[in-house]
Amino acid sequence: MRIADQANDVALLAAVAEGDQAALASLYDRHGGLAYGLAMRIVGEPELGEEVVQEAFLKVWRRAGSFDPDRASVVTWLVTITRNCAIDSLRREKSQPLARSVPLVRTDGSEVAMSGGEPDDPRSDGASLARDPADVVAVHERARRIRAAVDRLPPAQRTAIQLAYFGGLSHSEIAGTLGEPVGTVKTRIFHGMRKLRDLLDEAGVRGV
Amino acid sequence: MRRGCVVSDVHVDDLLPAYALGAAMEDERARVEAHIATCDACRSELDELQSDAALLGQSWVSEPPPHLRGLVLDGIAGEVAQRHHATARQESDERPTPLRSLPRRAARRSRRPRRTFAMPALAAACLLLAVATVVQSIQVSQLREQVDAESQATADGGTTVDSPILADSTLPIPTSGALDSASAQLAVAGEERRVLVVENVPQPPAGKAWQAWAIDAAGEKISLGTLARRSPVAVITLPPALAGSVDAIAITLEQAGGSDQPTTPPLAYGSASV
Repeated sequence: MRIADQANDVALLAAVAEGDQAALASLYDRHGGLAYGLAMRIVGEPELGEEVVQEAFLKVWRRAGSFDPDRASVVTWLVTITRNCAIDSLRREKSQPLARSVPLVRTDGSEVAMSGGEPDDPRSDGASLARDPADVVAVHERARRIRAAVDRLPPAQRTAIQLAYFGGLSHSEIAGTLGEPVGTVKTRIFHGMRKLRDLLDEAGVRGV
Repeated sequence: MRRGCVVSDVHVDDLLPAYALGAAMEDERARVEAHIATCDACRSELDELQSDAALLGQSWVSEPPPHLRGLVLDGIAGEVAQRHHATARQESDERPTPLRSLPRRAARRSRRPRRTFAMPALAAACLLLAVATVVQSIQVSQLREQVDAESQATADGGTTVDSPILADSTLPIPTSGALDSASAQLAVAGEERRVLVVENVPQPPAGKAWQAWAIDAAGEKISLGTLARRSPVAVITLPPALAGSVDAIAITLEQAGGSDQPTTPPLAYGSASV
């Protein structure tokens, strides 16, 4: 995230906190692709994904005044809100055990393509959002680098982390899903996140 | 124990990554939250971890369908309108002075696709207040203060001008069936101004959406857009050209995203001719 982008986002969010709906629209234009992509990754269905994005931006609207720029970037904050809304939606909608209804990873750590197939071609993006094409490409490229970093995690650690983050599973639920001790899962998450930080650093996406 | 961590009797190091991922269990979450309340080192580390976790959340980008923008903004506008309506009701209980004027919004076409007619917060607030005056009254000066405070750019970039228009009357739009608990009215202000206000809108079934229609003298049904899914209040301004020629208003249940023409019988229907 470039410095100028973060400064813009902070200014937009401050305006949202003052009741500026145009500022919220701008935030949606800038980050709606991230929010929708993450929502779809978790809930898997377009209608649910749309609801998640609506709920997330409503929360952004309501909570803009409580955002603390010293603790997180606006994108981190928005992504965290979106992820939590998506997990809530997933829990409401599930009629099967969570791990089966979430087609994310096989137990060997290899990733199943999400419903909808490959991520969008960045050249066709941006039509629905008022964004600079260069920004659209940059966001997609960054996403690709993050995925590449995650792919370099040892499979067992990657599985545990993805089940936690995208599946909303707790330690004990992951342990139950994988048929392994809770302690093992805790260790994998602990070491996996440490390793992930190094990989993300190498990929040049942390603190950018 | 983490370097810099001063609270030595509670060990939460191994829980911070799980907490950041949302994998901590309830008692673990409580322990982490209690600890970081007093330990800056661990709170900073947690912030870093949450930022790392949020990078996971940025690994899939997918452009949303075009109509989602309108739905998102409708939801916000609906919430703002609802809050103003609640405020207006409260104020009118205290000050029974008749309302006689509303600011007029400068005519300016939105450049967004007209899938939904997102109502800018200011105009939404004003027209809901217009409806409220049928049963209650609001002091003009307070309304003007509200207007001035909010005269920044509205959702699609329009701005207000100060010349007042009269809120003449409202026409009830009777509801039935699944919309029975909702109340719909068409606010009429002059020849060119019609605003449909729907309150207590129930959430439509999954995959469906409420869609409003203007019916002209020839019986043509023109879509006024779909109502935001989770918003209990909808405020839809009719385009000026349509406002003068609308004969009736209807609301039907359609597929999410709306239909070109109504495919189900109306659950709200009322005359729009003054």
